Amino acid sequence: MMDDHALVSRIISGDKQAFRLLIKQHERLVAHMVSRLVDRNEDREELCQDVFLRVYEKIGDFNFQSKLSTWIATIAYRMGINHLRKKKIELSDIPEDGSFTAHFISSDDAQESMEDNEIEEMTLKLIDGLPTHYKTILTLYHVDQMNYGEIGEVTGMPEGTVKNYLFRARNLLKEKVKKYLGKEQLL
Amino acid sequence: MNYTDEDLQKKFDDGNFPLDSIDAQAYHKVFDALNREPEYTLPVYFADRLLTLIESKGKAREIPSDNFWLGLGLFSFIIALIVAFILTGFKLSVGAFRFFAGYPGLIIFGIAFILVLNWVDKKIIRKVEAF
Repeated sequence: MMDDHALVSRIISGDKQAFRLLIKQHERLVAHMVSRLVDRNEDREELCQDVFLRVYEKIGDFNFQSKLSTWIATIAYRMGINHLRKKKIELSDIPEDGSFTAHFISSDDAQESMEDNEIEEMTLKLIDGLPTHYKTILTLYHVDQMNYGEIGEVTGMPEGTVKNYLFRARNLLKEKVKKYLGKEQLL
Repeated sequence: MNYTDEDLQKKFDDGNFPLDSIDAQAYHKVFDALNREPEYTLPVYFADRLLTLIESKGKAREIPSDNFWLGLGLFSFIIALIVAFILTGFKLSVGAFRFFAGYPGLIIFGIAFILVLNWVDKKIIRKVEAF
């Protein structure tokens, strides 16, 4: 596998195949981020395309202060957030007063019992229902294996905030899943 | 053993999976779901299409340079014409030119009108038609 320096140098010198390699290496990362931020598949593909076009235009500015993947993820995150702002989709946070938490973990719609795979499917839907920043942090940490520092760099948040968001989001999901598990165990 | 949420999350992050409480079991389900890759994937032809797009954009960028040379040519031609008029003492004294020579404002208005008409056509009329 080619290292970041060699890959970037080849792209800057106009090697299109090197850019194809960059796309292949990072398309999963960009698709993960974009799919967590944007709902429609058509919009997702278009946004992924715009992200890589921006990467191509700006690759000469990449200064190797971070990993190439972190830099690309930062571009994807910023463009994703801009897309949501253009569509006037609210980038809500989890309010401290507990109203969101209470609503999120209420079990009014809980079925009597659920199979394991159903609980997993439900958990995936719950992840989608979380505020944007939480979904992004969860994906970068769990799916793309980024550390707190890298996530902080991508999202522009301090490491402490990243840790806090990660903890709160997982705790919230656990509380919701617990309701279902509780019902399962009572049966 | 009772763990706090912080302890449990740390244990799961470290790859230990205690299942001795309902909280731990719930975290187990949550971590399983979180570690699953999102279903959305880009089409296999994504990279090829993007490279084609980049190449076509590159070609489109070459067009302004053609326009630049065309503009420069026209500008040079006009300058050369003016210089030739001055050096030869040429006067607009043939046919219709004789008439227009007495109305310089009319010539300026004609040129300005054509330019404005072109601008309106390009910026407004064609844009509206595109929608």
